[in-house]
Amino acid sequence: MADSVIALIIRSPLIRRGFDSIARSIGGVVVRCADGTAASITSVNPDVVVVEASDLRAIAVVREYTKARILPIVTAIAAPGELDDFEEAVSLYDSEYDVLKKLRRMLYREAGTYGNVRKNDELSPREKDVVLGIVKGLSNKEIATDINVSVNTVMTHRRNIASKLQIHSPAGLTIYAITTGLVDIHEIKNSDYI
Amino acid sequence: MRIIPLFTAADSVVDLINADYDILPVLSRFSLPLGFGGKSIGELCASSGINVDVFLLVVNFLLSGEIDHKSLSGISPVEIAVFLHNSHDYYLNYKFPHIRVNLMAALDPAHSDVNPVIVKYFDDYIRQVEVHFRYEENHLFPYAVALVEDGDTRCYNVDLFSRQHDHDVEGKLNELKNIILRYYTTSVPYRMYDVLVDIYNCEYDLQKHAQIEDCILVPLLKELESGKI
Repeated sequence: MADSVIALIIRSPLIRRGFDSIARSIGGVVVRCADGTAASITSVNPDVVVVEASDLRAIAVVREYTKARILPIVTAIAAPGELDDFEEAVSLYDSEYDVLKKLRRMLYREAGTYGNVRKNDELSPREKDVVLGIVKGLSNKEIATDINVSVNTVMTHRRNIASKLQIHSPAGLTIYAITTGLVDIHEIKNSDYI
Repeated sequence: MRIIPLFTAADSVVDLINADYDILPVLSRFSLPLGFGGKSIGELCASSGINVDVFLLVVNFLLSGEIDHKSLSGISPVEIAVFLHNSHDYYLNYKFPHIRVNLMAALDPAHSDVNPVIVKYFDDYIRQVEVHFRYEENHLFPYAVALVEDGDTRCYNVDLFSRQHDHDVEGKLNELKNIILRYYTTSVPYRMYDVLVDIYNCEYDLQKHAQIEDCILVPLLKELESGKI
């Protein structure tokens, strides 16, 4: 797996060097420095950008030209509401441990590890429709007609459902549907699996 | 992962069990009685009429994944089949009913809508396993006996078994476990956690059972088959 790239957009050399040395201690990351210009930022192609919270221009550029996550450093007293947009913020007085912790949280979210775990459980509305159809004992063809898609689409939905939920059998899906409230037991009284 | 050494006939039975207590049910499938005293594995097998080489082959395979190919050729597939038959008996007449009783006791009355569905799912699983085991009892094991005793072996061969040896059955238990883990809530979790541990162990056990069939019995039968050509 490729190394993650952390870009530092920090004007103060003191702070930049300090952050650089802390960030480098994380395995599997590459630390680059950039100024606030689009050219510089895009050439680095960062996963996470560490930038001063007050550097609104740089933040805007990062948002417009990259999909990187932003970790702001608060170098002065933050104005009210200034940090509302951000999940985390680093203070100059954070311990090294806390800085590393916040960086790691940004990195893992960027790689999608936690994100993927959360997403895995959630079926899209269409996928829920397909589960309902399966649990009611409908064939793929009947489900396709019901929700107005092709049979192939139904089959793709079924594959995604199985992969997300780790449930492959209609009987298993029945249990899932009841426990998650997707279906009421009375709706499927005649099913084979009850 | 702990590295477990290969056991020999001179090693003590208690040492074997202390190395990995999961081996206890296996002892029962060889009909080896409790009350080992200070007996060695060789002494225990001799006093119970069990072939110590067969015992060691199976036990060492289960503990460390190793098959001692040197001793393999001296072993009769019939004795392996007897062990597998006893395992079937253990699952169907003891282990599965045991899990079922515990599962029923662990289901939360607040989920009266889904509880019967879960029980039915488990019962369907047991039925599938029964079919799987019955096939082996009716075809594979008698074939092993016929091969060894020079009986009529024309109607069957080991390839037929391998081709249909279906491991999907394991997936169903895995799925039930996943469903309970992810989606079942209960106000008294202790019992359900115990049931889950039982299911995890059963799943692992059945995988090993299938491996003994594929990696020990099948090669032994193939060797006998090629000797007959």
